[in-house]
Amino acid sequence: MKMINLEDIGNYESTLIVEESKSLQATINNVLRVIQDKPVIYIALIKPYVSILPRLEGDGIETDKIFFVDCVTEFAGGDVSEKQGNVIFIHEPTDLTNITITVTQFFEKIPGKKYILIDALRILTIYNTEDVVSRFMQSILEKASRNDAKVVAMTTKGKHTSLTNKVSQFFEKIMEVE
Amino acid sequence: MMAEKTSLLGGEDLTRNDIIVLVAPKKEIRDMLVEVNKITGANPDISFIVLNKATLDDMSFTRYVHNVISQVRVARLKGLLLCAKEDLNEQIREDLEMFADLIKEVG
Repeated sequence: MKMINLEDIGNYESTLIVEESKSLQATINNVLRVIQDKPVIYIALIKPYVSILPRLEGDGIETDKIFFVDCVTEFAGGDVSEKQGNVIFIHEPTDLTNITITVTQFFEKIPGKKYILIDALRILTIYNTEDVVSRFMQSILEKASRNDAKVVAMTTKGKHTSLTNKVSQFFEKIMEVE
Repeated sequence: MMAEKTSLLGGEDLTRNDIIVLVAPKKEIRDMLVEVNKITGANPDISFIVLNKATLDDMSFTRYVHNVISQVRVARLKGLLLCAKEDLNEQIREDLEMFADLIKEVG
Protein backbone atom coordinates (compact mmCIF):
# COMPACT_ATOMS: atom_id res chain seq x y z
CA MET A 1 0.00 0.00 0.00
CA LYS A 2 1.29 3.49 -0.86
CA MET A 3 1.88 5.98 1.93
CA ILE A 4 0.79 9.60 1.69
CA ASN A 5 3.65 12.10 1.65
CA LEU A 6 2.81 14.45 4.52
CA GLU A 7 5.98 16.53 4.54
CA ASP A 8 4.49 19.50 2.65
CA ILE A 9 1.25 19.59 4.65
CA GLY A 10 2.32 22.90 6.21
CA ASN A 11 2.27 24.56 2.78
CA TYR A 12 -1.52 24.41 2.59
CA GLU A 13 -4.17 26.35 4.51
CA SER A 14 -6.45 23.32 4.51
CA THR A 15 -5.85 19.67 3.69
CA LEU A 16 -8.27 16.75 3.42
CA ILE A 17 -6.57 13.39 3.85
CA VAL A 18 -8.46 10.37 2.53
CA GLU A 19 -6.94 7.23 4.03
CA GLU A 20 -7.64 3.52 4.41
CA SER A 21 -9.52 3.02 7.69
CA LYS A 22 -6.99 0.53 9.07
CA SER A 23 -4.12 2.98 8.45
CA LEU A 24 -5.92 6.04 9.77
CA GLN A 25 -4.41 6.11 13.28
CA ALA A 26 -0.87 5.68 11.92
CA THR A 27 -1.45 8.55 9.48
CA ILE A 28 -2.87 10.78 12.24
CA ASN A 29 0.30 10.16 14.27
CA ASN A 30 2.44 10.94 11.22
CA VAL A 31 0.54 14.20 10.65
CA LEU A 32 1.07 15.18 14.30
CA ARG A 33 4.76 14.38 13.97
CA VAL A 34 5.01 16.81 11.03
CA ILE A 35 3.00 19.67 12.61
CA GLN A 36 3.93 19.26 16.28
CA ASP A 37 6.12 22.38 16.38
CA LYS A 38 2.86 24.43 16.34
CA PRO A 39 -0.11 24.19 18.73
CA VAL A 40 -2.73 21.69 17.53
CA ILE A 41 -6.45 21.68 18.31
CA TYR A 42 -7.27 17.97 18.00
CA ILE A 43 -10.98 17.22 17.47
CA ALA A 44 -11.15 13.62 18.71
CA LEU A 45 -14.10 11.69 17.30
CA ILE A 46 -12.84 8.10 17.04
CA LYS A 47 -11.41 7.51 20.52
CA PRO A 48 -11.60 9.21 23.91
CA TYR A 49 -8.75 11.39 25.15
CA VAL A 50 -7.66 8.72 27.68
CA SER A 51 -7.00 6.28 24.84
CA ILE A 52 -5.33 8.75 22.49
CA LEU A 53 -2.86 10.36 24.89
CA PRO A 54 -0.83 7.25 25.91
CA ARG A 55 -0.64 6.10 22.29
CA LEU A 56 0.71 9.46 21.13
CA GLU A 57 3.22 9.63 23.96
CA GLY A 58 4.25 6.02 23.30
CA ASP A 59 4.83 7.00 19.70
CA GLY A 60 7.19 9.81 20.76
CA ILE A 61 4.83 12.67 19.90
CA GLU A 62 5.01 15.83 22.02
CA THR A 63 1.56 16.38 23.53
CA ASP A 64 2.19 19.59 25.50
CA LYS A 65 0.89 21.74 22.65
CA ILE A 66 -2.06 19.56 21.72
CA PHE A 67 -5.47 20.84 22.86
CA PHE A 68 -8.14 18.13 22.71
CA VAL A 69 -11.80 18.58 21.88
CA ASP A 70 -12.99 15.16 23.08
CA CYS A 71 -16.34 14.23 21.51
CA VAL A 72 -16.34 10.64 22.80
CA THR A 73 -15.79 10.43 26.58
CA GLU A 74 -19.00 12.03 27.87
CA PHE A 75 -21.12 10.35 25.21
CA ALA A 76 -19.67 6.97 26.31
CA GLY A 77 -20.49 7.62 29.96
CA GLY A 78 -17.01 8.66 31.07
CA ASP A 79 -16.33 10.97 34.00
CA VAL A 80 -15.83 14.53 32.78
CA SER A 81 -16.33 16.25 36.13
CA GLU A 82 -12.64 16.83 36.80
CA LYS A 83 -10.46 19.12 34.73
CA GLN A 84 -7.98 16.97 32.81
CA GLY A 85 -5.01 18.49 31.00
CA ASN A 86 -5.62 20.37 27.76
CA VAL A 87 -8.99 18.85 27.05
CA ILE A 88 -12.57 20.03 26.74
CA PHE A 89 -15.33 17.43 26.60
CA ILE A 90 -18.23 17.69 24.16
CA HIS A 91 -21.55 16.14 25.18
CA GLU A 92 -21.92 14.03 22.02
CA PRO A 93 -20.80 13.98 18.37
CA THR A 94 -24.12 15.51 17.25
CA ASP A 95 -23.32 18.68 19.17
CA LEU A 96 -21.54 20.42 16.29
CA THR A 97 -22.43 23.87 17.62
CA ASN A 98 -20.58 23.17 20.84
CA ILE A 99 -17.59 21.79 18.93
CA THR A 100 -17.44 25.04 16.95
CA ILE A 101 -17.75 27.15 20.13
CA THR A 102 -14.96 25.15 21.80
CA VAL A 103 -12.68 25.52 18.78
CA THR A 104 -13.34 29.27 18.86
CA GLN A 105 -12.42 29.36 22.57
CA PHE A 106 -9.14 27.62 21.77
CA PHE A 107 -8.51 30.18 19.00
CA GLU A 108 -8.78 32.94 21.61
CA LYS A 109 -6.55 31.04 24.03
CA ILE A 110 -3.80 30.18 21.53
CA PRO A 111 -2.15 33.16 19.82
CA GLY A 112 -0.21 32.83 16.55
CA LYS A 113 -0.09 30.05 14.00
CA LYS A 114 -1.81 26.80 14.87
CA TYR A 115 -3.46 23.73 13.39
CA ILE A 116 -6.85 22.08 13.72
CA LEU A 117 -6.84 18.31 13.26
CA ILE A 118 -10.16 16.50 12.77
CA ASP A 119 -9.52 12.79 13.19
CA ALA A 120 -12.42 11.41 11.20
CA LEU A 121 -15.15 13.19 9.24
CA ARG A 122 -16.66 9.73 8.71
CA ILE A 123 -17.60 9.59 12.41
CA LEU A 124 -19.52 12.85 12.09
CA THR A 125 -21.61 11.35 9.30
CA ILE A 126 -22.55 8.41 11.53
CA TYR A 127 -24.26 10.86 13.90
CA ASN A 128 -25.26 13.71 11.56
CA THR A 129 -26.50 14.14 8.01
CA GLU A 130 -23.90 14.82 5.32
CA ASP A 131 -25.34 18.29 4.67
CA VAL A 132 -24.95 19.23 8.34
CA VAL A 133 -21.36 17.90 8.37
CA SER A 134 -20.62 19.80 5.19
CA ARG A 135 -21.90 23.09 6.70
CA PHE A 136 -19.94 22.41 9.90
CA MET A 137 -16.75 21.84 7.91
CA GLN A 138 -17.28 25.04 5.94
CA SER A 139 -17.81 26.97 9.18
CA ILE A 140 -14.63 25.56 10.77
CA LEU A 141 -12.60 26.41 7.66
CA GLU A 142 -13.91 30.00 7.62
CA LYS A 143 -13.15 30.49 11.31
CA ALA A 144 -9.71 28.93 10.88
CA SER A 145 -8.74 31.27 8.06
CA ARG A 146 -9.68 34.28 10.23
CA ASN A 147 -7.67 32.97 13.19
CA ASP A 148 -4.30 32.01 11.68
CA ALA A 149 -5.11 28.30 11.83
CA LYS A 150 -4.50 25.63 9.23
CA VAL A 151 -6.92 22.72 8.99
CA VAL A 152 -6.10 19.05 8.48
CA ALA A 153 -9.18 16.84 8.26
CA MET A 154 -9.01 13.08 7.98
CA THR A 155 -11.57 10.81 6.44
CA THR A 156 -11.64 7.20 5.34
CA LYS A 157 -11.97 5.78 1.87
CA GLY A 158 -15.03 3.67 1.41
CA LYS A 159 -18.53 3.80 0.05
CA HIS A 160 -19.42 7.14 1.64
CA THR A 161 -17.67 9.09 -1.13
CA SER A 162 -20.51 11.60 -1.40
CA LEU A 163 -19.31 13.38 1.76
CA THR A 164 -15.76 13.56 0.38
CA ASN A 165 -17.17 15.01 -2.84
CA LYS A 166 -19.26 17.56 -0.91
CA VAL A 167 -16.49 18.85 1.33
CA SER A 168 -13.47 18.49 -0.99
CA GLN A 169 -14.37 21.77 -2.74
CA PHE A 170 -13.67 23.64 0.53
CA PHE A 171 -10.11 22.34 0.90
CA GLU A 172 -6.98 23.69 -0.75
CA LYS A 173 -5.33 20.27 -0.97
CA ILE A 174 -6.69 16.71 -1.13
CA MET A 175 -4.26 13.91 -0.28
CA GLU A 176 -5.49 10.42 -1.06
CA VAL A 177 -4.01 6.97 -0.80
CA GLU A 178 -3.89 5.55 -4.33
CA MET B 1 -9.69 -27.05 15.32
CA MET B 2 -10.93 -25.13 18.36
CA ALA B 3 -7.46 -25.22 19.93
CA GLU B 4 -6.19 -23.47 16.83
CA LYS B 5 -8.89 -20.81 17.14
CA THR B 6 -8.12 -20.24 20.82
CA SER B 7 -4.47 -19.62 20.04
CA LEU B 8 -5.59 -16.74 17.82
CA LEU B 9 -6.99 -14.89 20.82
CA GLY B 10 -4.09 -15.03 23.22
CA GLY B 11 -0.60 -13.77 23.73
CA GLU B 12 0.62 -10.60 22.12
CA ASP B 13 -2.70 -9.65 20.55
CA LEU B 14 -4.18 -8.98 23.97
CA THR B 15 -1.05 -7.28 25.23
CA ARG B 16 -0.66 -4.90 22.33
CA ASN B 17 -4.29 -4.08 21.55
CA ASP B 18 -7.04 -2.65 23.73
CA ILE B 19 -9.93 -3.48 21.41
CA ILE B 20 -9.99 -6.70 19.40
CA VAL B 21 -12.93 -7.66 17.21
CA LEU B 22 -13.28 -11.34 16.40
CA VAL B 23 -15.29 -12.09 13.29
CA ALA B 24 -16.72 -15.59 13.02
CA PRO B 25 -19.38 -17.26 10.86
CA LYS B 26 -22.78 -17.31 12.61
CA LYS B 27 -22.82 -21.10 12.87
CA GLU B 28 -19.57 -21.00 14.86
CA ILE B 29 -20.48 -18.15 17.22
CA ARG B 30 -21.70 -20.55 19.92
CA ASP B 31 -18.37 -22.43 19.92
CA MET B 32 -16.46 -19.15 19.95
CA LEU B 33 -18.50 -17.90 22.93
CA VAL B 34 -17.26 -20.81 24.99
CA GLU B 35 -13.65 -20.36 23.94
CA VAL B 36 -13.59 -16.59 24.44
CA ASN B 37 -15.30 -16.96 27.82
CA LYS B 38 -12.40 -19.14 28.96
CA ILE B 39 -10.01 -16.28 28.25
CA THR B 40 -12.06 -13.38 29.54
CA GLY B 41 -13.39 -15.30 32.56
CA ALA B 42 -9.86 -15.55 33.87
CA ASN B 43 -9.15 -11.85 33.36
CA PRO B 44 -11.50 -9.23 34.84
CA ASP B 45 -9.76 -6.44 32.89
CA ILE B 46 -11.06 -7.85 29.62
CA SER B 47 -14.62 -7.02 28.73
CA PHE B 48 -16.32 -9.57 26.47
CA ILE B 49 -19.15 -8.32 24.30
CA VAL B 50 -21.13 -10.00 21.56
CA LEU B 51 -22.09 -7.54 18.84
CA ASN B 52 -25.51 -8.58 17.59
CA LYS B 53 -26.89 -6.62 14.65
CA ALA B 54 -30.31 -8.28 14.95
CA THR B 55 -32.85 -5.90 13.38
CA LEU B 56 -30.66 -2.79 13.48
CA ASP B 57 -30.05 -1.01 10.20
CA ASP B 58 -26.42 -0.53 9.13
CA MET B 59 -26.01 3.00 10.49
CA SER B 60 -27.65 2.19 13.84
CA PHE B 61 -25.40 -0.87 14.19
CA THR B 62 -22.32 1.25 13.41
CA ARG B 63 -23.36 3.83 16.05
CA TYR B 64 -23.98 1.02 18.55
CA VAL B 65 -20.55 -0.53 17.90
CA HIS B 66 -18.81 2.85 18.20
CA ASN B 67 -20.60 3.51 21.47
CA VAL B 68 -19.79 0.08 22.93
CA ILE B 69 -16.10 0.31 21.99
CA SER B 70 -15.93 3.87 23.36
CA GLN B 71 -17.44 2.71 26.68
CA VAL B 72 -14.76 0.02 27.01
CA ARG B 73 -12.02 2.54 26.22
CA VAL B 74 -13.38 5.14 28.63
CA ALA B 75 -13.47 2.49 31.39
CA ARG B 76 -9.79 1.78 30.59
CA LEU B 77 -10.53 -1.87 30.01
CA LYS B 78 -9.58 -4.16 27.19
CA GLY B 79 -12.39 -5.35 24.93
CA LEU B 80 -12.88 -8.60 23.13
CA LEU B 81 -15.85 -8.25 20.80
CA LEU B 82 -17.39 -11.11 18.88
CA CYS B 83 -19.24 -10.37 15.69
CA ALA B 84 -20.97 -12.55 13.09
CA LYS B 85 -19.36 -12.40 9.68
CA GLU B 86 -22.80 -12.29 8.05
CA ASP B 87 -23.61 -9.03 9.88
CA LEU B 88 -20.76 -7.18 8.19
CA ASN B 89 -20.84 -5.50 4.83
CA GLU B 90 -17.90 -3.62 3.31
CA GLN B 91 -18.76 -0.28 4.96
CA ILE B 92 -19.38 -1.73 8.44
CA ARG B 93 -16.12 -3.65 8.23
CA GLU B 94 -14.25 -0.45 7.29
CA ASP B 95 -15.81 1.38 10.21
CA LEU B 96 -14.85 -1.48 12.54
CA GLU B 97 -11.26 -1.20 11.31
CA MET B 98 -11.32 2.46 12.30
CA PHE B 99 -12.83 1.85 15.77
CA ALA B 100 -10.87 -1.25 16.81
CA ASP B 101 -7.16 -1.86 17.25
CA LEU B 102 -7.29 -5.30 15.65
CA ILE B 103 -9.79 -7.35 13.67
CA LYS B 104 -9.32 -11.11 13.50
CA GLU B 105 -11.18 -13.57 11.32
CA VAL B 106 -11.72 -16.72 13.35
CA GLY B 107 -13.53 -19.98 12.84
